[in-house]
Amino acid sequence: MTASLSARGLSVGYGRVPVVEGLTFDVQPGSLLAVLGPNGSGKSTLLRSALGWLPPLEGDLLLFGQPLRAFERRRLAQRVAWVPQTFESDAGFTGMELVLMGRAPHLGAWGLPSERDLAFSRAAMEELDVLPLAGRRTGELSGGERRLLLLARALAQEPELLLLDEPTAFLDLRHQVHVLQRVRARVDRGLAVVAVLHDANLAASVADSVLLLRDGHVLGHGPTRELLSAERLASLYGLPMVEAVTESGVRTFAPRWTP
Amino acid sequence: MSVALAQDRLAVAREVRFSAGRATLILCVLAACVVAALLASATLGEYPLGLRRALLDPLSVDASVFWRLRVPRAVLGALVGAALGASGSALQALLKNPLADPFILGVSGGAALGATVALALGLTAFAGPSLFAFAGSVAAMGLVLTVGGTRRSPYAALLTGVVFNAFASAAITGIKTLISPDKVGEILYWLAGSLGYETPRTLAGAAVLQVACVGVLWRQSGRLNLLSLGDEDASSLGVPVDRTRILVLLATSFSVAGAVALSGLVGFVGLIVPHLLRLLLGPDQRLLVPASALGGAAFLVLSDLFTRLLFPVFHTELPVGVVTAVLGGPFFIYLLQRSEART
Repeated sequence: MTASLSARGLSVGYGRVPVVEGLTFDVQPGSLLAVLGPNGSGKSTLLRSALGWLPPLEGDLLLFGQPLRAFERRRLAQRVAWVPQTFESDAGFTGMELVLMGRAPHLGAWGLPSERDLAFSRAAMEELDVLPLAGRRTGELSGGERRLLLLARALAQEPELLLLDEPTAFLDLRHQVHVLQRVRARVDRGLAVVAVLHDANLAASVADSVLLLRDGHVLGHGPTRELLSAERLASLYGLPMVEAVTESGVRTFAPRWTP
Repeated sequence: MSVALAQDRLAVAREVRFSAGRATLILCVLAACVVAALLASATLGEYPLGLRRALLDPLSVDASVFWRLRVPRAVLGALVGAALGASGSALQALLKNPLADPFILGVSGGAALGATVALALGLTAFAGPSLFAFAGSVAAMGLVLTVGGTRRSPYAALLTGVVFNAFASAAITGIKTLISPDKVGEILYWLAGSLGYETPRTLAGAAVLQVACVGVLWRQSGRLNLLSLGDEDASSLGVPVDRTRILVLLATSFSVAGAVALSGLVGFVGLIVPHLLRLLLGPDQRLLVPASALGGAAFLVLSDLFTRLLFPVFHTELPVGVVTAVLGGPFFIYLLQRSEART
């Protein structure tokens, strides 16, 4: 099977200065890779490079087995969706209008959405429980609500590869879990996902594999179950960590408090 | 149709305001407004004109006034208004700045400097000020695009334009202090923006230019929607950001340069018309670009009619730019306060 995204000795950065170096990994269709690491470790830079905004300084980045430059913008957008960290525009669109924009790369010459495009958008909003926001102006919504709309937009885009930049930021606990459950359901139906996460526990419950980044270098990469441990997370974040197993058998990690 | 289905349709119309049917309807209404404005402008004025006689008797004075004076002037107003309206709407989306004005990218400074040079040198024959204004605005646009247009951030182009406009205005002040007072008067009148007589050939050329430029903007309007969310959002949704930005900047610049060359600096049309239409119709550029073109045309034709009807009051013709500013300024402040109160 061709990997949806694969990096081979990849270095990327701004100008000639590398932000992340020596990345080698594969993301297969139907799998979720969680990228963990402290702020400024190059997680978002990695996602950006997969969208072609930062050409590789070294090594190769392949999308669906082809080099990135083989994709024209629109063709790329038909297969790869991105959920940004922040969204500040207040252009005055409604929730549904924003989600419908996810259909843009699939529309014909006149850019007119069909009933089918509307149905896709509606289904994506239903999937994330945000249909009540359809008629509201995005400028009037909370950060978390906008976040959910951006996720719905990415789902409406019907991508084969989904790049999530901190998808759970601004979300309350219930929505964090709900969103990752919905994403996981799509992964089980064949979607490939790269998700930058800050919560090791959420990563432990949804990710097939994890990539640990620190100061632009790979600290570890492998199956979630094998790789995530209190020691590794401790050296990743520079913070003493403890691991516990709940009654139901779920492993959880927490910083060890020294007040 | 069942009640549930009807309610469903209503909900969809509230959630997604753009539809081909609604857009067509609105554009037809606006087109009718333009035709009505053109007819009003061509028939009303100091000389009371019988439309029937003007159309049926080609040798009458009415026909002569109608075809040789009023129709060309009304058509000129419509072309300039359409250029400013469509460019204003497109630039506001592209620069993500609701206060962007079609003159903001240095086009006004370039045009004003070009016309001032022509008038100062006495090159009034062969449409000297117009040609110089066009050359000046195209040169300014070239400068702004090379310095700032290809960058990722829209602010580079914006800042270069603002700086160039300031430079041009200083240069114009310098020229004005060096020349005779009667030439200063001519320059002032030109800068204020006014519609005069243009030959049918000039009008035809301007029409071709404006149809092409507004056409390009309309074609790009779907991408402008996505760009108004941010460059990276737009790019991730398949918009070739740099190419689209250059195309839109070129189209607006040529459109505005063509308009300014024939009318001088008619302010506020490009600001007020898109703003008002956005409040009424929503932010979708696929509708706003053509609607602003039609709305701008109707607004400028009516403003020009107003200056002609005020002739008996002031015993001179006010520049139409003064009327659009006097009507537009207070209205704009009202809009601004309203939008600030909302957020």
